[in-house]
Amino acid sequence: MRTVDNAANATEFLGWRHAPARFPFLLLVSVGALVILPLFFLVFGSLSSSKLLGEFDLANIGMQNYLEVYSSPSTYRVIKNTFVYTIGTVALSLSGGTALAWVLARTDIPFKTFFFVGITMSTAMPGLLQAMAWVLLLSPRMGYLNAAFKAWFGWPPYDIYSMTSMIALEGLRMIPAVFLMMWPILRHIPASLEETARTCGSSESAIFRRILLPLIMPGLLGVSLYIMITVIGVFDVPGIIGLPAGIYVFSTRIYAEVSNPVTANYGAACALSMVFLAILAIGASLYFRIIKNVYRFEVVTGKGYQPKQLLLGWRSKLLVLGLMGIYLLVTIVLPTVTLLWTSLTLIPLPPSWQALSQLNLQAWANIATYPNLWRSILNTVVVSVSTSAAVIALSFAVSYVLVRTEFRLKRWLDFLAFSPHAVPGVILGVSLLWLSLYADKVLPVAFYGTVWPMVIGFTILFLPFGTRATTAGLVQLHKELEEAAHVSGGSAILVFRTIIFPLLSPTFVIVFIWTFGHVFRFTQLPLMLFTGEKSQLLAVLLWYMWDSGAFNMISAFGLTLIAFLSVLSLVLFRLQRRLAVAGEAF
Amino acid sequence: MGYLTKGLLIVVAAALFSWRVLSGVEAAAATARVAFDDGSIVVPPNIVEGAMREGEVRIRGTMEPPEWAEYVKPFQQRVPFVRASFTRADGAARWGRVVMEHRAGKVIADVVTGLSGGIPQMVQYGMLEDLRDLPTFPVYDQKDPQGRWIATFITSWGIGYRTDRASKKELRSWEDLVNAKWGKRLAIGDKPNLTPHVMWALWGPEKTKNWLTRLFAVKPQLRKEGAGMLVKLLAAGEYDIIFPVHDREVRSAARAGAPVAWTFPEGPYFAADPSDTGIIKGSPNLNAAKLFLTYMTSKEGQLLEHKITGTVPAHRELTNDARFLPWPEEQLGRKVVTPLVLERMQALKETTEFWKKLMLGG
Repeated sequence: MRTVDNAANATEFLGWRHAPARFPFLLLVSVGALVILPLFFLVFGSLSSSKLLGEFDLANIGMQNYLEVYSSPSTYRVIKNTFVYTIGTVALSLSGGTALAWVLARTDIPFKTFFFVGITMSTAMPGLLQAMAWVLLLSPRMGYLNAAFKAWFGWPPYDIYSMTSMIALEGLRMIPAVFLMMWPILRHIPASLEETARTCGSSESAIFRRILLPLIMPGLLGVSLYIMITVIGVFDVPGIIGLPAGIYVFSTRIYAEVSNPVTANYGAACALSMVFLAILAIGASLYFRIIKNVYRFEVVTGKGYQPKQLLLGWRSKLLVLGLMGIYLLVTIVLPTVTLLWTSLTLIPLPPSWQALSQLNLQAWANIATYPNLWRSILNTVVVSVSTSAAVIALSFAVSYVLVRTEFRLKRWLDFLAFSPHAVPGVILGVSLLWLSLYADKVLPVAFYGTVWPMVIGFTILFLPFGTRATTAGLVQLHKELEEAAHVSGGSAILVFRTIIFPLLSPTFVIVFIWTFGHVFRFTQLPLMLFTGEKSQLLAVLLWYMWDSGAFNMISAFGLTLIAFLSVLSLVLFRLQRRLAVAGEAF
Repeated sequence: MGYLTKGLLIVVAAALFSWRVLSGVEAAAATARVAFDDGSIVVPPNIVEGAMREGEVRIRGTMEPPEWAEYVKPFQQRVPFVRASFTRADGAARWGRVVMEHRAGKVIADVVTGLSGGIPQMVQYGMLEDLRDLPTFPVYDQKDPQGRWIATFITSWGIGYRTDRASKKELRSWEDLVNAKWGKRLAIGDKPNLTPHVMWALWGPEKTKNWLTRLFAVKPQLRKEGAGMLVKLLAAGEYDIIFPVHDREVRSAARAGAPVAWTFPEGPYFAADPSDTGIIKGSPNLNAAKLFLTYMTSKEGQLLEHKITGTVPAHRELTNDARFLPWPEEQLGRKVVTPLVLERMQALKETTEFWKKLMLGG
C-alpha cells in the first residue's frame, strides 16, 4: 500500500501539489486575518481620540478613552452586574441542562423523542421575542400573568425588571445549549464502571461523586466556559428586561455608548470592550485547554456500546415528567401562546372576555404586504446561505488541516478558529463597521452598504461552532478510506465527492441548520451594519417593529419565523438522519 | 445553439430594447412638467431632467414602512422615472451613521429626515446641500436661512398619561413631575434631544440640571424604546406617565380607544420641535432628492403625511390650523417660547452628556 504523507495528503487534496506546505500556512493567515483584522481595528479604536470611526488618525492617539471609561463608577457597576448575571445564568443553565441531559441519556424515562425535539425546538425562538413575551406575561403593571394572579389570588405583582429575572430567563434560554453539549458526553460514559462499583457495594452517591463526576468534569467545565462566553455577549434579554430598571451589563453598556448619535463615542466603546475581551480571551483559552483534556477521557469509550439505563420508579418518573413538562410549558408554550394572543390585539391586553371582542386578524392579514419584507427576506436568505457555505467550507478546511496533517502551527490555527466565540456581536459590529468604511477606499467594488460585511461578520462569529462540528466529524472518519482511494488513482476532487462529502454530509447539514437559523435570529450585527434596503435583514425589520411598538406585527412575524425555522430544522434533521444512515451503510 | 434558440433570443432582446426605448420616451414626455398642489408648484425642468438621469432617491426617515408605502404612492404615480426607496431608522442609524459615512467619503442616503440632533455636526462638516432653489422653500418659516435644512413637520413633545390612573391636575407644573410619589408609575424615555435640551436652552444649565437630577431621583422606569413603543406601553398600562412623548402618537392611541392623554405643563409652551430635513452634500441623486423634497414640502405632501401619520404640517399655510393639531386644547392660545436653532444645538450636546450620566446611574 502506498504511504501517503499527511501534510502532502491535505495539499494534494486541494490541488496544491507543488506547494506542499503552503496551504495550511495560507489557511492560518486567512483565518488569522479574518479574526484579527476586526480586533486590530478595535484596539486602535480604543486608542483613538476621534469620536467618529471614520476620523481615525495616528496623530490622535492616546489613553483618553481608557481614562474616561475606567474612571467612571458606572463601569465598575457594569462589571459587577455582568459578573453576577453571567455566573447566575451559567449556574442555572448548567444545572438544568445537565439534569435534562442526564434524564434523557441515562434513565428509562418515557417520551424521550418528544422531549428531545421540544428542548431543541425552543432554540428556534429569537431572544428578542422570548424576552418580549415574558415582559407581556410578568411586567408588574401590564403583565397578563401578574394581572391574573392578582385577580384570582390577590398576589402582589412580580417585577420582571430585575437581575433575578434576567438570570432566570437567560438561564432558561441557555438550557438547550447545555443539554445539546452534555447529552452526548453523558450518553457515551460506559455503564461498566458504574456496574463494577455497584458490584463492589458502592452507594449511588459515591458512584456519582467518584465515577460520573470525574468523567464529566472536563466536559462540564468546557460547557460552563462556553456558556459564560456566550452570555457575556448576549443582548436581547439584558436589553429588554435590564434597561428599564437601569441594570446595565457589558453588551447593553456598549450599546448605550454608541446608540445615541449626539454622544456616540466609539473610542470609549472600544476601550470598554478591551477589558471584557481580555476576560473572554482568558475564558476561551481555558476552554481550549479543558476541551483538549476531554479527549483523554475518551480512552474508556467502548465502540457500539449502549449505556445501561437507570430504571426509575413510577413516582420518580411522574416527578421528572412533571418538571420537564413545566420546563417546556415555561420556555415554549407560554411564550408562544402569549405571542399568538398579542398578534390578535392592537394594544397588548390581558386575556379576558371583554378583550375577546377586540381581537382581530389585522397583523396576520398585513404580513405578506409589509413593505420591504420580501427584500429583507431575500437579503437574509442570501446572507444565511452565503454564511453557511462559507462556514462549512472554512470549517472543513481548518478541520482537515487539524485532523489530517502534521502542520506545526495547527494549535494556533485551532485557537484562531475558536477565538471569535469570545467576540460579542456588538464589538464585532463596531469593528466591521469601521473596517468596511475603510475597505471601500481600497476595494474596486462597493463593500460598505452591501450584505457582504454581514456575511464576513457572521462567518467569523460562527466559525468556532463550525470547526468544532467538522473536526468531531472528521476525527471519526478513518483516513484509510481516503488513502485507499488515492492508491486506486482517485483524484482529490473524486475523493472529496465520493468519500468525504457523503460521510461528512450529516455534519455539514448540522452546521448549515445552526448557522442558517442563527443568522435569522441574530440582531446585533445586522443592526450595526445595515445602511438601507440593500442591506436590511429580517432581524432589523423585527427590531424596528419592536422599537415602534407594533406588538401585533412583531408577534405575527415572530410566530411565522419560528414556524418556518422549526419546519426547516425538522426537515433538515430528517435529511441529516438519512444521510447519517447512508453514511453508516457506506 | 440551434437557429430557433438564437431567433428566440433575438426576439426577446428586441422586445426588451423596444420596451426600454418606449419607457424612455414616456419618461422624456414627463420632463416637460412635474407639478404639485394642483399645478401651483412647478418643479424646475433642470431638476426634473437631472432626476430622470439619476433614476433613484434614497430616504432615511422615521415613518413606519406601511405609512411610507402609502405616502410615496402619489409621488411614484407622478414621477415614475425616479425610484424612491426608504429606510426606517433610529437616530443612530438615520443621521449618526450618515455623518460617519460622509466623513469616510460615502453617501448612502440622499434625503434624511429628523435631523435636528445631527445639525451641529452636519454644519461643522459642511455636509448639507443648499435647498434654497426648492420651489417650496419660500413658504416655510421653520428653516435654515442659509438653506441647509427645512422643517417637514412639527412635533410637540410633552407628557403622556393614562386618564384612568393620573389626572391633568396632577401634572400642572414641571415640579409636579419630580414628585417621589410617582416612582415606577413614571417612565422616562431616553430622549434628551427633545424637550430636555430645549429646557436647557431656555432655563439655563443650572436650573435644568437641578430639575433633571430630581426627576431621576424619583426612580422612574428608564425606557430606551422608540417614540411609538413608549406610547404603546403607556396604552398597555406599563406605566401611568411618560415623559417626553410626542403629541400625535398619544392622539393616535386615544383614537384607538386607549385611556391616554397628552399635556404640557402650565407656563410658556416650548414643546414644538420642527423635524428638520436635509439633502446630503455629494449625493449622486441630488436632483431626484430635490424633486422628492419638493413633494414632501408641497401642500399635498404635507396634508397626506398628516393624514397618514398625524404629524402637524410645517407649511406656512397649514401649520397654525387647529384642525391639524393633535391636542388643540393644550396647544392653542399658549404663549410660545422657542429658542434659536443654534442656541438649541449648543445646549444639545451638554444636555445629552449630562443625561447620559443620569441614565447610567452616575
